[in-house]
Amino acid sequence: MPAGTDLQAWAIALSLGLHSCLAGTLAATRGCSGDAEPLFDPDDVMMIEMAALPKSAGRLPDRASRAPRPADGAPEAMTQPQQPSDQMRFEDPDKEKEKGEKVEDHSLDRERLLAEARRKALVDSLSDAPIGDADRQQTDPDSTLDATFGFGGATGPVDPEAARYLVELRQVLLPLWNPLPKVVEQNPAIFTLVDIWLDPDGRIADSEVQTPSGNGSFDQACLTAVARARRLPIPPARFKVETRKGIQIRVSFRASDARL
Amino acid sequence: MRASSRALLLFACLLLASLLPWPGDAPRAQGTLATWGLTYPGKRNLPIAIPRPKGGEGVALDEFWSVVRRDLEISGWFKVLDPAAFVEPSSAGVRLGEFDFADWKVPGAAVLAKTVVTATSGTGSARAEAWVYDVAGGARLDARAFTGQPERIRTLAHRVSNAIIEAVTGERGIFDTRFAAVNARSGNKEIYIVDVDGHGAVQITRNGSINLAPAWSPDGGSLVYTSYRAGNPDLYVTDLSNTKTRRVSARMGLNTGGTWSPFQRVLAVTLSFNGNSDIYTVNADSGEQIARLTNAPGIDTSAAFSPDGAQIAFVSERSGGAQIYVMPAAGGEARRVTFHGSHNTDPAWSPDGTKLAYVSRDGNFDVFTCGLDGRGVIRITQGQGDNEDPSWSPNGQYVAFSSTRTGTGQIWISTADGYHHVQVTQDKGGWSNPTWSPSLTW
Repeated sequence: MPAGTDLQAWAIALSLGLHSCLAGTLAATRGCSGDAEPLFDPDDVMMIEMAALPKSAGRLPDRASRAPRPADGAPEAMTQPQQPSDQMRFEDPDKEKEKGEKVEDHSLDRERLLAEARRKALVDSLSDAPIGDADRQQTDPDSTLDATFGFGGATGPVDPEAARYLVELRQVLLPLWNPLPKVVEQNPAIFTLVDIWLDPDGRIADSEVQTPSGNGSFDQACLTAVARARRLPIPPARFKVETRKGIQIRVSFRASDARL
Repeated sequence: MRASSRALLLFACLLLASLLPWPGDAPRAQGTLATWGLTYPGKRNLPIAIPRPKGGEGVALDEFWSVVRRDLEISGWFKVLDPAAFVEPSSAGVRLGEFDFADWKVPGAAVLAKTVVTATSGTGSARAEAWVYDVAGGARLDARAFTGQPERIRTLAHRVSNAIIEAVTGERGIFDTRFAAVNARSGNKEIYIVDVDGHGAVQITRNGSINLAPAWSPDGGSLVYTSYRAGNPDLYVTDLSNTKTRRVSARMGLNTGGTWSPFQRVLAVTLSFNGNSDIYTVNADSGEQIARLTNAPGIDTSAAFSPDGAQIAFVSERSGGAQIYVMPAAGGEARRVTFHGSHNTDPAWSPDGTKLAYVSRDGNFDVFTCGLDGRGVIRITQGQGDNEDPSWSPNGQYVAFSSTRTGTGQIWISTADGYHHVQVTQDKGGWSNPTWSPSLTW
């Protein structure tokens, strides 16, 4: 074999070895440190908002849910909100069957399609669902201010899994979130998006302001709430986004709900 | 192969290695990143740290501290943090740069209110300073100083409380206001004026009979009330500047429910000399009748002028049970406001004239508020004894009422949304008929 052929083989072997070493080093480096990259399309972000519904008329109303402060200053009991009912609307192949129409049985496909339809309906509804009081009354006349949650407006669909998770987040974060009342009063439209990364057991690994509100005090109050939480519930699998910094969730802290 | 060719080949391999996709680089995102929206739920208990005041001799530091802490708890805006959780060294000062905000994040403070109380040499007065900080933002919100007589340390503390509240919320505080109310500690029902925190009661009437339903004049300088001192329920006015008292109506039958017009020396009163209880207006000085405003069968009583003086709310049985109506201040067609419940009484206008507080019998007596069209009913009390005599704070943020929930009647304050209740009096004699002074400044 000519010497040139040996040299070429040696060069190829060397390059493959270097390739492996370099790639391995890159992977190890990225696994150890560095900022999380955007691993999702920024446009593909769902806004899941919580909306309170007005009280119904017809009888003397109950007092607002927070219990009166006893004279001895004992802590107040926390009101447990009701779980919302599933009001999701999408095409149900079972009903098509009942009508006698021929439907092929592709259970796995159907589950996937249903999940996709559910997600799409949820995303679609969140953008422009009707949110007026009249709509709410028609939708749920017996709802109460503190016990019922709607998502993207009361006439929109409710995703029970998302609702449960949001309730869990709310119970942890709201008691710790203390923006100054003057700031909230003077800037009712502001909101802060905070990105949070969780360990698999829910401990907060990192957090940062993704979109500032423009008011430093408000942003810091949001970060303080997250920091004081120390641990947050892990989102449902459908909403779970894993990055190298951990499980990422994004929380919007909104000064006031302009829809109310 | 020449050395340059080898180097070129090696470079090409390295370049290729950096460009080729690698399994470890694949995005690990499994779902769509959702944004979980939380909306600030409104007034809540903002954690506030109030360290013990800095100060010198000759001033009651601990009393000052206690009053400020209690005021801020009453306000409903704050959760006053336990000083035992404070970690700041005692050498820390009150000005920016003299302390570390990190020390106040440890107990979870959102707001830090540092105070200084000193005796001013020479003048014999006391000086109180309030330094208010946003802990999360690491910024000063406000700093104010007040001076007063050392024996009026509670008043100084109330002023400091108001300054703290205004710095944090932008709203003026209520701690420079008072109640006129009825107390039976002497064995008789007498009229008193008491600070909004339940301290500093000053007795106004001393006639040993029954005195009821005090109402402030618009300038806060006089009280009109019903007294049985002459054996009949008559109306009296006491000038608070000199405690001189004069009788303004002693007609046969009932002379009750006096309430002042906001702009004129006119009282709306309930008189029954014609055999039926009706609403009249009388001259606040002479007691002469100006007009008869109601003439319906059944009882008409509990008149209350609207803040603009244009309307009067009152209670009437003209539709059967007691209900609240509104009519023009000069009399005329009355419009029914309440429709929930069969017994609604004691109307009180909110300072902005958009709401009424009232009492409804729903088993026990409870306090509610509603709009002038009767809609938007908010329950202030529920299932806690009898709750009566509602009165709005001058800024409309609170409703005071008397409650028997602790056994004896006491004055309680609720935020206007009904969330936050605080008992402000603890007197065994019992309190009733609290009426809030008309201005935030005494």
